[in-house]
Amino acid sequence: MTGFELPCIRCGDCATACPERLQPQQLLWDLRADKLKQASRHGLLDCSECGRCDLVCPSRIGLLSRFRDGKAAIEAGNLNLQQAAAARERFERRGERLQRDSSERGQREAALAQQAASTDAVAAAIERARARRKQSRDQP
Amino acid sequence: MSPSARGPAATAVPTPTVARVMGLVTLALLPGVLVQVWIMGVGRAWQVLLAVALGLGVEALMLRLRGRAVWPFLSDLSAPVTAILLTLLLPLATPWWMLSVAVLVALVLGKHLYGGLGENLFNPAMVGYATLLVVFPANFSSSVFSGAAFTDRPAFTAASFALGGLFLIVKKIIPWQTPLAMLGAAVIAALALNAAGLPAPGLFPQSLFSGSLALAAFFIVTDPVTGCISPRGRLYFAAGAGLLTVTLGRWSNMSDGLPFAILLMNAAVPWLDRTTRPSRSKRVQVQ
Repeated sequence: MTGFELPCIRCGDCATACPERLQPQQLLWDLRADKLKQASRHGLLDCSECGRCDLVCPSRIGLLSRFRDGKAAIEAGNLNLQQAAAARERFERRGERLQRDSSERGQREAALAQQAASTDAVAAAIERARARRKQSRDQP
Repeated sequence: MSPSARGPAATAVPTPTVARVMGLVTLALLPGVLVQVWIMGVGRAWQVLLAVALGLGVEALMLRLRGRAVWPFLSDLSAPVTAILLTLLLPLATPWWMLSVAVLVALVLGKHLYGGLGENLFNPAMVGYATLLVVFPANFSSSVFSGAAFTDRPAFTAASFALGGLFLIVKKIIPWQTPLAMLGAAVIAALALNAAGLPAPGLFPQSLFSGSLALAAFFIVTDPVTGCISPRGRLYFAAGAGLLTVTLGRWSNMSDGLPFAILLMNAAVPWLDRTTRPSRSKRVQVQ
């Protein structure tokens, strides 16, 4: 009857065999229910993949291969989380940058507008123009 | 390449199988069966045979109806174990159809409707036994009741069960702590009741030598499926069963408190499992 998997009979031999003091049967139930977080809380990532649970299981359940899949899924999930966090940070930085640029531009334009509107500036420009004309008249 | 495609774990030693475990349990029940046949007569042997044959038939039928592979599951021998345990607990006077009802209830309601081997919350043999006790109390009420509980020579019956249990302990099929916890808790509870001036007739010391307590200690509370998964949880489970068996035996109107004690503890198992989870030094969490 090799290769035929019987249901888990909760004998606990896998827990006795586990050098990491994990409870493989509990991890199996977590993973079958797609509860990755719970499996992680129960220490799945500490599984050293030694395969002793496979050896002692009277129901011949392929525990190790499921744990590998589960670990990969958790790690992939963590990678996704990291990528998502990085993307969020980029987005927030860009928002800040745009905000800063627009406020700087606003300040600059406001300064120019203020300059253009002030009477002193007009007077100064007229003075400069006179000086230029006077200079060009005197030189030749 | 998916991680699971890296291949199985290195296999060097032959693994134990469910069939081997159940086969050894059946073997361990043999002294008990023989002693009961010796005490009660050949009728007991026919009852055991009927229960086992019916158990195998019901198991095969339920597997077929549930669309499961029949042979791999039928050959795990869990159905005959349930059938034998059930029969050994019933009075010899139990009619064949009542025994059949018990086997049907045990395997259909107690086991397969929960999802079959490994998925049942309650011990199937205890579900069948409790049903008969509740539905047909008259069958158990006579003074010369009963199966394992009150045979002519209860000490012989208990000793034969203990012999089978010791065989299972030596073979490392069951831990020695679990039977000890149940028997210990039962003794303490019986002594406490006696000391409190609340002895029940036949409760102590006879209860210790009644076959049903020994059968339960070595073959019922040691069932991995309906018991706890951690060593500490198993101790609490067995001790609770022993305590409840004696106290229910004192106050309940049923002639045997055992199945109700076991069923109540079965119901507590998920909670016990959660609260007795072994602690681990390091833990990694999903961020």
